[in-house]
Amino acid sequence: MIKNSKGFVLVETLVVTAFVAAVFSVIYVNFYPLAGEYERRTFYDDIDSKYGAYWVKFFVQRNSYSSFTAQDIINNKSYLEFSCNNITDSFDKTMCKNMMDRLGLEKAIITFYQLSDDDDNADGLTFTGIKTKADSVFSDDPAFAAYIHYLPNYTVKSLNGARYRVICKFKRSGDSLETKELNDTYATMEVIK
Amino acid sequence: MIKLNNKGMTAIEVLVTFVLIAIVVVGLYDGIVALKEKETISSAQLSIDTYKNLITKDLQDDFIKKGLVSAKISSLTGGDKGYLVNFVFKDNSRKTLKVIQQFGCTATDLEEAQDICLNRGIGINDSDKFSINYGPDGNLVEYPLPDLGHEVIPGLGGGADHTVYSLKINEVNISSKDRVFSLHITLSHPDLGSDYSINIVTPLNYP
Repeated sequence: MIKNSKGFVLVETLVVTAFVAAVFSVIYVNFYPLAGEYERRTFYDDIDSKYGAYWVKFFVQRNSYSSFTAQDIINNKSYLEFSCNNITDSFDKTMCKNMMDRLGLEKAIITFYQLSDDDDNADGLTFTGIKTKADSVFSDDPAFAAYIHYLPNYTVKSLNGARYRVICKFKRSGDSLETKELNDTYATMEVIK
Repeated sequence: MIKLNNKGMTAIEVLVTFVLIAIVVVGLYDGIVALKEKETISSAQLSIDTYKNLITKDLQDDFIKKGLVSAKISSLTGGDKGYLVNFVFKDNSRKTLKVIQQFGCTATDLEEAQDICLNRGIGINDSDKFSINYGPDGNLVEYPLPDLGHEVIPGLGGGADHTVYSLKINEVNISSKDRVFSLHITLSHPDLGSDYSINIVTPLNYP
């Protein structure tokens, strides 16, 4: 019996090498970002940001915060910017500013409780959710838009009857004595108003 | 009968194979060592996060649910160094926060001890002592810092051995200003930096 004693030719070796390299590339591309994703999400809904979001919600729910309607949100790109200047009472306004300054609030928006589009008209209201518009209206802040996309759609109605929610971005530093790069942290909380 | 292939590998083939295997093993070893280090750091970070979240939640719960009326800030007296804050809440309940921040002496000889310990008011055989205590007056719950590494230093001048810890309470800022109470406690670790802090603000006597 004659045995096949031929080895691989160069082109066969190259094809196999390229195939193996392609497989490793696919694995690397798919798994490597997971590490970064995990680290990024440590800045989402951490205990400090949730506490900060509570105080934003607290001031929005105050009677002295200028009233707004669902139509106001629809007319304004599906969100309203939170500002202590929207508080009419001067004492509340000062307190709000002092608190937000110390909490490191960078940005907060008021939007619908449901973040995805609401087309069913179940409660007499249809709107385009902030998730649909996030990339365009926050094109200058893609990290903020990324947090909005990370959040659930909240299609199930709030048990507390909340119709709105605040979405907040904070700037935080671990050590006030050292000059360090500030971290952006994010949190959301429902608003009953 | 089938003729066996008695051809072996040449020396150069064996050599190339060994070199390739060595390269792969060295690459894998470096990767595994890096992962091991990352796992150690992540574990330490988790301990600090858990510690921070535990205290922060207890304080935040009281500030949100009860509402703070006043906070009297003073320095600790007696043996311990640090801060004492007496809180009064809207339901007339009272709680106390005690932050002990006492640095130990890291010097290993008497000459060094003069510079880095005695000149800074630290006894030459003092151990690190860091803890946060919070609870109703007279019934404080202690939250000792997690032990993320420590060093036992032999006693100097015939004194007792003492211990210094890697994780320390680095900075404490407590203030009541503009009717806002602020608490900022920074934790620091030589390998993890000082990114970890307990940061709480709440309005004072706000209706």
